[in-house]
Amino acid sequence: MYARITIRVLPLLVWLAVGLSASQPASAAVLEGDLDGDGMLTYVDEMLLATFYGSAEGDPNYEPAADANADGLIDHIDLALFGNAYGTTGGEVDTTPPGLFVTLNDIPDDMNDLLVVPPDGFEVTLGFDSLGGAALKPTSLSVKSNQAMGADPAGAELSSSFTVSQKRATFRIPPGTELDRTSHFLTVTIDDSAGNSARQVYGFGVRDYPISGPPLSPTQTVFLDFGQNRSLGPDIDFLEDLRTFHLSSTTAPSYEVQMRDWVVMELLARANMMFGRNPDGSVAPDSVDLVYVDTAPTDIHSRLCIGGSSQFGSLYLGASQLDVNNINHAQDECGFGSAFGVFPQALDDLWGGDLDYQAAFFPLDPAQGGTPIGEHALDGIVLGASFDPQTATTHELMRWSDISDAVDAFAQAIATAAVHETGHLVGLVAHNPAPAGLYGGTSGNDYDHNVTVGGVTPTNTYVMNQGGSFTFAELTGRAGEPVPGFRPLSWAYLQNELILDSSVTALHPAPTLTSVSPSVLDLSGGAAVVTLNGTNFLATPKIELVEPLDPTPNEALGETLVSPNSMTGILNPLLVQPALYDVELTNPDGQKIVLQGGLLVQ
Amino acid sequence: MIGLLPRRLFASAVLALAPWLVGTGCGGSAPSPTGPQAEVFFEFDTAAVNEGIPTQVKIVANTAYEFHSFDIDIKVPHQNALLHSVLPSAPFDDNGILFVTPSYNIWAGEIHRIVDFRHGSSSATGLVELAEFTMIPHTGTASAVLEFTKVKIADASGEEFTVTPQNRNFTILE
Repeated sequence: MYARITIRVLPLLVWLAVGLSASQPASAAVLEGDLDGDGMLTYVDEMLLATFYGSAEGDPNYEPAADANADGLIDHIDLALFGNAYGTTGGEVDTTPPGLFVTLNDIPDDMNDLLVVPPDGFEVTLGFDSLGGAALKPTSLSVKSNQAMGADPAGAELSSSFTVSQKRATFRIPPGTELDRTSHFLTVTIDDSAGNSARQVYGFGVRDYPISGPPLSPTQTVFLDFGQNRSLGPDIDFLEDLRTFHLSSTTAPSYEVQMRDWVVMELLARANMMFGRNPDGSVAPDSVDLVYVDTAPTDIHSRLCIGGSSQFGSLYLGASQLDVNNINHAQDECGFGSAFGVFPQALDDLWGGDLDYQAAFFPLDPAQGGTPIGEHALDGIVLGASFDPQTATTHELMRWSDISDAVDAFAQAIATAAVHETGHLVGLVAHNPAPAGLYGGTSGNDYDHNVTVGGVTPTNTYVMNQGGSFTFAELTGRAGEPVPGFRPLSWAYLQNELILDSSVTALHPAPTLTSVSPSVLDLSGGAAVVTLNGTNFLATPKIELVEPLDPTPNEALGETLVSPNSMTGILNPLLVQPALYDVELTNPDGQKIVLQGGLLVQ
Repeated sequence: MIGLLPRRLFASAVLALAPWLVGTGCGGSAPSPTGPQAEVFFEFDTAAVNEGIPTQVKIVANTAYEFHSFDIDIKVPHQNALLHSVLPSAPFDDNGILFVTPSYNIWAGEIHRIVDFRHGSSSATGLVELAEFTMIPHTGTASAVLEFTKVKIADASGEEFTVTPQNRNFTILE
């Protein structure tokens, strides 16, 4: 009757059902609590259970296989269940390998071979799971790389560098580490207490930062401009938006400035927090080097207009110009009529029928029996500087709640849209099917905000997903939904832990070099052409002749790509002295190959 | 200024008002517990607790239900005594050792994680000694109390007991 490992919820009732099922022979069951997977509940299991006792899910030594009732605690209840079944034999011997998952910067496996990281500062995370069988044995963890990792040579055991718990191990490559700019493969193995072993090989590329440094460095500033009148209406667009949503009223204009300031403050705080910063925009641990302000700074900055409607129609919540490589740190998203910016007027057209939208805004909407801000008898009190919810009357609290809820919904909806459009400004969005774009890749008309590099559309409501794919609750983090965040891949890029260049989305295979023709060259008669033969040449490699006793560069001139398997270069006798040279070919993505003694110059 | 902080204040105010707003009743006694129940108490001669003299104290459970495991924390507040050397008690224990080594904070007068369980299907019931420990009082003529800070008991099916812990007052004689 004691539990089987395969069903781990509502243990008493479920286990009873399983235990009494004639179709389930007892010998087929892995015994619950059989932490060494030997088919018996013995003192060995008791000792293992003792090492996990008292831990809770999230603790380093929490082992799910020891949590008999799967309540996230390994406690006296699990102990009672174990004790009652103690001595049971005849269970299935666990032969199932544990689960093992390798990620870089929390980016899952479907992007393995496409990840490109800078030479330091990224994090390797290993996740493991006993899969309900014998307990994991973290001390068995082995991690090896085919390349040198800092001071450790290729093939060295790296597990001692990891912080290891019962379910995961992490290692942040220290700043200043100079990993080789090439393909790396980590081989990871881990055992469970029954001796079953899991193995994973994780490949990734290492490149230098493109152009001039990390993508988001130095800190970029985005000025959210709430002061434009692009609709050419009677007032600036954002104030008209507040009136549309009854967050202010022309019949009680005295509250308009106060409400504008409140909404802007909330909106800025939320937008900054979505980039990991403090509400006031100051730096927080692991925050992104991007900050929002609501007044135009004197330093270089981008500008994103907030207000009104898109000239393209009422269903556009926002639009901005994609800067694939995040080169322009002074983009202006207020020009071209009202083509670009964030357009609050679209909220009603997109989510007017959404119950969470109605719950937020109907209490202020006179068409729905509500009262706009400024027109309610209690607004003078609840919007007063001395209003204190702790001492307020019930009716005051209810009115204050209606106002606060609408402000919260409006501010978060627009903040989410602003963050989304800002993502485009710094290169984020998946365009086109994989592997064309990760942070933009190629520009064009074929947009898919959601697709991953692996070609999969995630179910998560990431902030860079297409606006129409959100419910209002998902857009605003209401009704139990989290506020939208960035995909791990995007987040790693924003934190300068993944680089952005043409190599990001397609890690090219390493070149090979098989021959140089001619292999003996007489330059006494002047310059001559050599042909290099191999594979995986990219337009266009550089050729250098290396001679250990000659410190001066011996470069070829006029390199020309003939095909992925052939290229030519011109050797000038003024630059290349007679000697036996190693021939070095370097692809534009930094990968190089050397043919030792490949060319004799006479 | 209306912002994030007032919203939190508001939340607590609404919570305080919630029963009234939704029209629920108030008052009444706590519901009587259902399911298995137990009392636990300390057993020692309270008239013979002398400063500096070790006293053996037993932890005892009294229940009409069968139980299979326990997890107990105890404390003497105000650092009136040192607590140490927990041992299993034979009436409950079936292998001579506690499940895990208890965690002692001797100078604070605390012992955590006094844990034991039965091996096999035989449960315990009735008046059962669970464990015993040594107490050394060190503040003369002080009024002191032995407290349970956590008592968890479960039966063989994993059902949790409702436990009534009985703390014990005593005086330390010089």
